Amino acid sequence: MPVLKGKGFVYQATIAEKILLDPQTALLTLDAPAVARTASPGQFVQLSTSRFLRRPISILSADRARGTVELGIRAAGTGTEELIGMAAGTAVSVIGPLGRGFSLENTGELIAVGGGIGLFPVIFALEDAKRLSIKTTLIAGFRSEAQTLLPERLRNLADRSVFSSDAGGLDFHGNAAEALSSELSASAESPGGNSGRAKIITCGPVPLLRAVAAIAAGRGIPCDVSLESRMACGIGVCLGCAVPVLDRAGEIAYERCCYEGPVFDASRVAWRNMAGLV
Amino acid sequence: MNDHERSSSVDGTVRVGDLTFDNPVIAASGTFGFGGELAPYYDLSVLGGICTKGLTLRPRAGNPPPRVAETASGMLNAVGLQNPGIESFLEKELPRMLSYGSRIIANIAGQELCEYAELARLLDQTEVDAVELNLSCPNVSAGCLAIGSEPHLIEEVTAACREVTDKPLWVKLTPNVTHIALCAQAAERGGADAVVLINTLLGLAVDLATERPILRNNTGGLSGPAIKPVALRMVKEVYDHTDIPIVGLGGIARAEDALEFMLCGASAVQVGTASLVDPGMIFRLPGEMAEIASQYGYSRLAEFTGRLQFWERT
Repeated sequence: MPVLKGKGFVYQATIAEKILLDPQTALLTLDAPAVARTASPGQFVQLSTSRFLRRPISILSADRARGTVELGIRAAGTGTEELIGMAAGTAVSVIGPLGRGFSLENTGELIAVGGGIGLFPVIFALEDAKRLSIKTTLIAGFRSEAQTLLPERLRNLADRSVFSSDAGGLDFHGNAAEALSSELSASAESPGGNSGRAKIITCGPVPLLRAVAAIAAGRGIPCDVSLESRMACGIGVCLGCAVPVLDRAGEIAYERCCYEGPVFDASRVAWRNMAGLV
Repeated sequence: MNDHERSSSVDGTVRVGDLTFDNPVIAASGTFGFGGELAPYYDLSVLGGICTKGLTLRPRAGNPPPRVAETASGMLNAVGLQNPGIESFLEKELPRMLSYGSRIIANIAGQELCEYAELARLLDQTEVDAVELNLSCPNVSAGCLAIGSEPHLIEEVTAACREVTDKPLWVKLTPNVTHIALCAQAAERGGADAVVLINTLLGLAVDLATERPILRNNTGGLSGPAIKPVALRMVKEVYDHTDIPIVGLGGIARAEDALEFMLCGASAVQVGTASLVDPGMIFRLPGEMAEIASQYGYSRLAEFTGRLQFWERT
């Protein structure tokens, strides 16, 4: 990363724009050129609020020319509530971009599966894939038709997109993992069917990630999952945000969600030990 | 003379026993990794010293998550001494740490007395500047908290390490005791060169919705500005009852806090949890302490140590 030593990586940024998607969910555009310059899909930033610890927020897109990053935030507690309440013009302290994101290297075809706010980091990956001329499929899972997020934007993001909902009323009646199975089984021309260089990326609730990981493993398709963990520093120094993975001997080891992650190779995650985590 | 010129005329050098530091600011164990995460972004030689993450004889996976919980003006942690083990540290981490141009203090933790001595022995022939005995980690099932709250065990483990190394020995004390001064005196009798205080206060965070503790370890160690008054009181108490130097820590978040610790008797200070929120702060601290010192008319930071005058009892 081209950062001048001694300059640090804590920046003062300004909220350029705030759009409320629903009463609990907002898109913040942050004027932060240093962050935008190097941000890649799947990475996150640490934002300050009046609370003690920073809040890790995934990057939804980056505009290097304008020097802005877009952040998707769901209010889940006092810190994130404060963030979605911030008006344009508010100054915030930001650290980032942080963590290891999705890898699109050697990917001929990208199948992105996002559930709810898990779609935010997936959007960035699909935009990057488009720029790299990678064939893309998006599977977007929502609780209901009324709870879709950014539907127009999502529709135009991938070569093919399937919206799924357990409640019905969208393209596919069922959850996003079931929609993925259905897509992969549809035909030889289906995503992942013939390219040999397909990759699945996914972000969302743990049960969805676990189901997607199992489907990917069953078909021998590489899969990146974006995970969450209660986090303190976000920069790899405190070992607070442990994610259980299996080491070479098959033993449980803990890696840092903020540093080795938040994106992990799904086949390394100790899914049985992920139960009950955020 | 502008502020910068005035502050640069303040001598930041401090001594902790026989060890001299360019300035009193040391990164606390467990909040700075082994320095590698921040080294690309900051000049680590600005710091007086860096304490390693707690090291054990064998690698430790640590506790299952969640390991952290936010609290009012602070946080709880129960990492459980996740570390690669002393062997891997000596081979992979120490050579890089020695290139940072800052003093390196190896923090060690054992489950039994003999483990501390073995760790100290393994560090004796290395280039670390000091060995810090973590007698106070509240997050492992056996061992160090039990040792750290019993003065006779503190003395015994310190003496056992003293026997196998000539390195400066620092003993990091737990605040989870009734009489911290007795613990400090025990370390002194055991041959410690300095005491380091305070480690985290044992605490509990509760999730109302699940009726469970937030931490998978149930309890954890409280740190951050919330604990600073407790830490200052204990540093002062130890200063009044021992003759060995004190390294003070607990909730330091700005230069004024660090100087308050020195007034209470600390010769040097450690910054921990604040680095998790503002990783740049610790690097500004030496300069900011000097600036404040010059405003108060001091020419050396070391002059602050122990100047606090208690009110007379009425």
